[in-house]
Amino acid sequence: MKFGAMLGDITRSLFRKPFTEKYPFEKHAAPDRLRGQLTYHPEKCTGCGLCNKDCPSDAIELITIDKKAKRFVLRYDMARCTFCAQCVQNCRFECLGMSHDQWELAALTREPFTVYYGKDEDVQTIVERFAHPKTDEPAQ
Amino acid sequence: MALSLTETWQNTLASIKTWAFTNSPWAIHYNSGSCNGCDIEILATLTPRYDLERFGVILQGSPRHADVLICTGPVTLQSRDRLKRTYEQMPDPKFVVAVGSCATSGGVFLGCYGVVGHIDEVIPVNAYIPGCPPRPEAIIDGVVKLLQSLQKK
Amino acid sequence: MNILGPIINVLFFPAGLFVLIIGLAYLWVDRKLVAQFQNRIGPRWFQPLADVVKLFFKEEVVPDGVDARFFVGLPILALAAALTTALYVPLVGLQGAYNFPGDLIVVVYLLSVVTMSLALAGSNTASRFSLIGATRTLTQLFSYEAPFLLALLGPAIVAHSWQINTINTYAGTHWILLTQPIGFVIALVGLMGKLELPPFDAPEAETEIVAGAMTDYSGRGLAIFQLAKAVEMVVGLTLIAALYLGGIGNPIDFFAKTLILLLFLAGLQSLFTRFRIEQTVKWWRYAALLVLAQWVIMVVLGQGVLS
Repeated sequence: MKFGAMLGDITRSLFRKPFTEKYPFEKHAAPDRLRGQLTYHPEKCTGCGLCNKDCPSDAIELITIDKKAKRFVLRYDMARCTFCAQCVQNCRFECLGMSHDQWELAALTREPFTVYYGKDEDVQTIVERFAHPKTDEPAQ
Repeated sequence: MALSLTETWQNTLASIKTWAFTNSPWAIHYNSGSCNGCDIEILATLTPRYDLERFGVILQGSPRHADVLICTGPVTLQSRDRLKRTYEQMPDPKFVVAVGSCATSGGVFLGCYGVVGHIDEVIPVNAYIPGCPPRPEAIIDGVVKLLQSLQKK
Repeated sequence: MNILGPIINVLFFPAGLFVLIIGLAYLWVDRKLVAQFQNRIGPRWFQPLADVVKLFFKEEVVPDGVDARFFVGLPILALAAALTTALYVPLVGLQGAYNFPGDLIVVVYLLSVVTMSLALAGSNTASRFSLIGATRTLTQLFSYEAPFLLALLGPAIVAHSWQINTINTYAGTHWILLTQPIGFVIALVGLMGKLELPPFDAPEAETEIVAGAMTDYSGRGLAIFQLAKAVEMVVGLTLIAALYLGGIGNPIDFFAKTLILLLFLAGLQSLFTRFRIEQTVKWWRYAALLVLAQWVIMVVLGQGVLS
């Protein structure tokens, strides 16, 4: 009888240890194939912009400073990202990837969600350009 | 002397209040146009495996009982007024947690004809949890960060 | 001294502060046991206290279209009724602070006042959910009240008294559980119906009617209703333990027997899913018939044996 089966289940679980994971106090490693925050290695990037083109939610933008000198900055908005890894699939030079340990992204404001990837001096240039628009843009 | 006494009383009351609020955040869940991915993850967070009752979180049915409004999804035109009304029905003090990329920024739905935008455009948000959908651990992380921010106040 | 005694009785022990603390502790034990039955950790030990303190600090919304006097007064009436019952039952193994012949009936009806004020509070507000909740609360009250009362009167008949203390001392020498098992089961399940615990929580089913009669209550009113429920739980458990489980003579007796009853309550809570309201009513019709059948057996066959 079904009733009896449930009764046995209840009695057994009374003497069993809880299954609960004590998450914030004991952290377990996330699975390797988890798609967390995007990573970018600017050394190999050629600036083809395929990642930029195929992103379904406009979460990434590849900003070109100097294409010949390979100075690129990747603006990544993790609040808009859907973690579909389409950009990782598209990148032929393997400079994009999804980290499996950066998933505790919660924050109290929206500012930390926009991240700039690239060489340090390039990122500096871009951040300054956003801070003071139309001061050092190249004349066209 | 009398003034300092009342001050200590006020400080004690304030600390008791903070203690009570950080230890018993009752939640209500509102879906303002989500694809149900985040809703499923919120339900997974409430299951015995993650057990939010450790922090005193109980999912309530009525907004009058709740302290934390857990929002998922971008705000659609249809649900904008309902979201506002649910928020206004909650008694003070109240907090809002936006779960998922769509609730945080609009996500893939930004720019659709029926979508207003992210939650912050309609009601003030206290904590954001990006992810599509966020893991149950990430949701717990967001709730814990919100409670820690209450403790510091 | 003559005045001080009653004041202590009403404000601190057995009614008042003491029974409130015991009620919150039993609420925690109940939640923790249900959590253990579901294989999870469950709330921390101060959880019900934190809930109540938080609710007292929250804003209280008095919605439009309600009578504010009733809205504020009904929770207080419920808590007052629940606290009054604590004066008559043998809490912690001591005799009730007050007793008179017939206090069993008074206690049962005061426990009904808690449910009645909950239903009135639901029908007072303009929300349709609380109206449905109030209707269901009343329906359930009418269906479980008769079998619960009949089940509690079984020991009274055997003990030839309507006084809780007399029945308690009588039960100390006779385990009425062994002679009236049907009455015991129905009293226990009737208590679950009274407390609106899970199999019978159709009046506050949160997936259907938000929170039932308490939908529009926030802050202080909700906290007072919760305290009333907690006190009702302790008093009901004490009553059943005193009448059926061999009486309550000392504190160890009290805690052991009521906690065993609470274990059964928590097990039944996690064992069953919610009944629909008409299923509840149907169940209680059979329960009333069963108790009546037990009475007939008692009267016809076992008058000499049972008494």
